[in-house]
Amino acid sequence: MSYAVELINISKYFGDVRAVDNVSLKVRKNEFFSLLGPSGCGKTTTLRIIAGLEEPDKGIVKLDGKDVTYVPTHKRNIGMVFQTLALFPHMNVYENIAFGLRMRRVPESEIRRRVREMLEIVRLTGLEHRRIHQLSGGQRQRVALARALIVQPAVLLLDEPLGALDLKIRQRMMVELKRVQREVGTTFIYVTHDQTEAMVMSDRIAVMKDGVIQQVGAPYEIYMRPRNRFVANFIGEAINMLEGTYIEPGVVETSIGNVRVEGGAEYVGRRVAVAIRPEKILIGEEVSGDVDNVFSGRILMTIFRGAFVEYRVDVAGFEFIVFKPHVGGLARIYQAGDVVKVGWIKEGGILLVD
Amino acid sequence: MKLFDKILKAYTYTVLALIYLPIVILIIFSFNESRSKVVFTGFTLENYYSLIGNYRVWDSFYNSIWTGAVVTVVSVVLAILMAYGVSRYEFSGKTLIDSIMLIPIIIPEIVEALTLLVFLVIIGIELSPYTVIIGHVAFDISFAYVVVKARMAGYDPQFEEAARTLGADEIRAFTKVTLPILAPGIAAAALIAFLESYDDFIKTFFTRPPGFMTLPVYIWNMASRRGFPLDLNALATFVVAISLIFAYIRNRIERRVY
Amino acid sequence: MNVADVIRRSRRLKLFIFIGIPMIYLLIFFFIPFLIALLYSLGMFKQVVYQYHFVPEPSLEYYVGLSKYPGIFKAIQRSFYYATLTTIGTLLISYPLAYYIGVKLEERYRDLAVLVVFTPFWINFLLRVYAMRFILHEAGMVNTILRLLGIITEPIRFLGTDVAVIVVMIYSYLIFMVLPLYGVLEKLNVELLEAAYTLGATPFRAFLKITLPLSIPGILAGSLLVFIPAVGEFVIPELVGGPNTTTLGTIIYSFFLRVRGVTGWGIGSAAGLIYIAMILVASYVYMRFVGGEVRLG
Repeated sequence: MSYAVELINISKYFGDVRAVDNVSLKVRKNEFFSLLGPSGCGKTTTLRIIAGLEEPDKGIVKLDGKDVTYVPTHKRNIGMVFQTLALFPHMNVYENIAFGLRMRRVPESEIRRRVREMLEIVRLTGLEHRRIHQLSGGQRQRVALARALIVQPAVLLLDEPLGALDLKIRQRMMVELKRVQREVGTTFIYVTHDQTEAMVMSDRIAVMKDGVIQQVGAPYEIYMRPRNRFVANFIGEAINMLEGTYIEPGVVETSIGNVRVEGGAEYVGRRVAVAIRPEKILIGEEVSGDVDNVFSGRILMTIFRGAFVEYRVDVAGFEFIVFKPHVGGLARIYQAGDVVKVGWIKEGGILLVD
Repeated sequence: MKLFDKILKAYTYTVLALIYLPIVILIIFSFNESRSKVVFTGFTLENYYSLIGNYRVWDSFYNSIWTGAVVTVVSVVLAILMAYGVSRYEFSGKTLIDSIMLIPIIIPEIVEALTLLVFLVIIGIELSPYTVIIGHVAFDISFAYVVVKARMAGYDPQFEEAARTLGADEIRAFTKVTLPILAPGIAAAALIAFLESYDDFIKTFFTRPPGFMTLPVYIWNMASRRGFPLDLNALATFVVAISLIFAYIRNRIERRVY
Repeated sequence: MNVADVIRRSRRLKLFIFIGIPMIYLLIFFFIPFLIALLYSLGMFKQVVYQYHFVPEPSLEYYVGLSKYPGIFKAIQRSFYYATLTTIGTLLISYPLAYYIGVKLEERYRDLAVLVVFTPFWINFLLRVYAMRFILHEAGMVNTILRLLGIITEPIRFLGTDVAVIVVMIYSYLIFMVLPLYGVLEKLNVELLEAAYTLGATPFRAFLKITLPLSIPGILAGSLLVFIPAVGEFVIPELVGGPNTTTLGTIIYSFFLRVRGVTGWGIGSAAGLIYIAMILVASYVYMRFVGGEVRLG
């Protein structure tokens, strides 16, 4: 089976800057795939190389198994939703959506039918004669999506299209995008710096940094099993990173004492880090006898975060971040100065060696 | 502070009134029966009848319009090429070229006119309406360029990229998307180019063949006599009316910005 | 590859089409004429029958001829005198006007106000000058009003004098000063002034220390836009001046369009090039003196 998109050792330089560094990637058919990374990590350049808007300095781009590295954009059968959306201001909704079919010289009667279908899919029926500036932000997203999808592209490329929207509308559009993707069954490649967007919608995510792909995996995988310190730090809201030395199988020596970990016997003698997500740390009465790592600490600060409480806990000079849902009243919430036990089971810790 | 603001306001209105005053007086006295410049002795349309019957005025007006139209088309096309090249491509000497484009605006017209005249005569090109057009295009490219480039600066290249991802080749992306989006800017540039040509006196005066008159040249011929020909006042009314129409069109175009 | 592909892939070809063609036009019909006129003024084209031949022997004959032209130095001096007074006059009149429209006037009325200022300047320049001549005449509106107010008993002869030329020049060039000044003043952040007030500045000192320095780019641009063409003005001295208002512009004009002939043109070209040289030097000195950069448009 061929992949929808395949990048083989792609590199791209802008002057001396290596925007994309030897990137290889396989995107499966009908997959919702995200390129996630901080700004300047090369994710947009990678997307533009797939679109043919940039030519790579090295490497091969394959669409549907065919080498398209030097095929111009307009012959690639892709669709793209731009960061600014780039809806043509001199055309109305209908004309915008019909544009791609016009370029392909599709008969007018078929254009009418397909635009009508598309408007239904993106739920914009009745707005076809509106001008772009008369639409709300969410409606514009839908027009941009419809315009790109109507040509039935082999792959749809999306370059941070939700960036300009309010939080509420953005949340709604995420679900909407996912729904449309299922409905039309097209491969989506989605570029974003927002991990929530990537987590919510993607089947798989590639995390990028400095032009290099750090890890590719399902949202669950990159969250639970980050491959290196960068991914561990970048994904998730916060993480507790204990630096130390792997002294004997299953034991890492850190500044707060020895920590029991799962596996990694081959790292004996090396510098490693143990990373624990804030929600995996048990606190106070939750720490029972069978918890592998137990330490005594003092609450430095209690921050009410709404759905949960965030504690900052000092353990021998290391400040743990702990997230706890609150089940009872105020009396159940620890306050600054309280002395508490903190702990986690060894499977809750992530061993990082890079 | 309040008093100061009031004085400033009164001052502004006074200056505005004074700017309009001479023109208004000129128009009012085009309806005057006698040759007095102060006392309105009686209403007449006599000056307008003599204006309407004056074929040389209409001939000059016609010349102004058609040369202006040719100048506009040529200079706007050249200006679009230039502005597009400068906005879209990176190359060495770009800032230099950008400043070179401003030179024809800054150089005094009388010097442009005399150098062009000397040049035309030296290389043996006979003066004709086309030499007038050539001269006008040489400064109009710059005026049109400044306007078109300003609009292009606000033009997002993603529009063109979007067209390409939708299956348009570069040429169709340019004609179907870029050009229509830039249309208001191009219209504004065309209007300015036309007016600079339509209104030009000095360069036309130097590079025209004998007997070829545009409206400004005709006005000069009448105004540089010692007297005060009253049908010139009538012509002024006509010219002012045309100018107001242009000002109105320009105002409408300015509002059509995407 | 078809033609479209060739064009698409060749950057050089694209650059040639976009940049090259307009540049070649300007080169041929704008810049080369300057060179030719320079050579012409140096007597390097000789007319034989109806053909011009290039003679590579420069001479200053026409420049000497120009220097011997009666009253030439007086005329140059007068041109700069007119241009300087016009620049100062337009600046003094425009600044309060531009300040009112750009700073004091409510924002939603500003475009309209600019339109109102601008509209008369769409009317043909010659007609505006003629209109001024109409009201400055001895029997014109200005004299009549002055007499009715009892300020004068005998009509003043404005036409033919320096005063008429300067007044009409200020009237005609006003817009070139108003627009750049409005451009900078309209962008002035009023919070800067309010910050100055909270720091104890009086309105007058705030103006001197904040508004004025920030409007220097506009003053510079406006001054150059007025001064440069004003030095070479010939229409206004011709229409409202007289024998005593000869300027560099009227001299160039008469050498080319009244005298004609090779010598007349040679001297006229020399005068034109000297004009360019002088305003280049003057603008440079002025910019060094005031400081800052000039921004056009």
